[in-house]
Amino acid sequence: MSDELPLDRGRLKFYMVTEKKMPDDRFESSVEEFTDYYRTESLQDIRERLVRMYVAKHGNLVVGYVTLAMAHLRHDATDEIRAKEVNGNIPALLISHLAVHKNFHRRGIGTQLLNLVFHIAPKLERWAGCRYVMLNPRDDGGVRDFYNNYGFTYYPNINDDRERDAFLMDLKKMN
Amino acid sequence: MPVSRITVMIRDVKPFDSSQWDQLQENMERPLTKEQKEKMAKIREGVLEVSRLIDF
Repeated sequence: MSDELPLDRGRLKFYMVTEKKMPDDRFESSVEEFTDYYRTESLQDIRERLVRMYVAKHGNLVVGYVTLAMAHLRHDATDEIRAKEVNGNIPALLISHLAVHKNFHRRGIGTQLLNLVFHIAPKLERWAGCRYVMLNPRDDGGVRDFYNNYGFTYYPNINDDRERDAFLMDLKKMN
Repeated sequence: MPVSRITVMIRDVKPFDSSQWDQLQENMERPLTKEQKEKMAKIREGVLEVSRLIDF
């Protein structure tokens, strides 16, 4: 608790990360996987055009990040379904990572990062089919409450994919 | 393919649940509830707020 730092909302800004370098290598999530991804893998994924990454900065410090990629909900899991439906897949924008600096929890930064996603998603949807914003949650009750409270709907085991649980937000219903 | 991607591809063992897909298709057609509409309105406010903080 003593490590938590004050947030001056007037100093919060959002940036897209370019492929040249990470804006700040001090970022540290309470989830090691998210720290490691930010520090060691994300730049390569950006360079390979696998994700776009956006950061929330408080002054010079990155206090949160979100990565986005194209995805779809797959419904061609069985021969029976394949026989009935020519195209059962639904296009979606995937939130592949969303993390907040461990010293800036409960300041609304995660919500602001989601708001940023919903600033971007309708622009994308104007030019290409995209019905949902989706994410595959970690197995963590607090994380699930966060996305439920924001407005996502949880579907367990819905996807014929390596990440089967999904939180979905219907972009059509947002207009 | 980066090693990290191969690692996550083999960790899932849960069965696919097609009833969830039926539920999704029902929800696609169903109008929003009052509570959902309120959440959407809140998100729109949040999007407007964050759009003033974007520098890209």
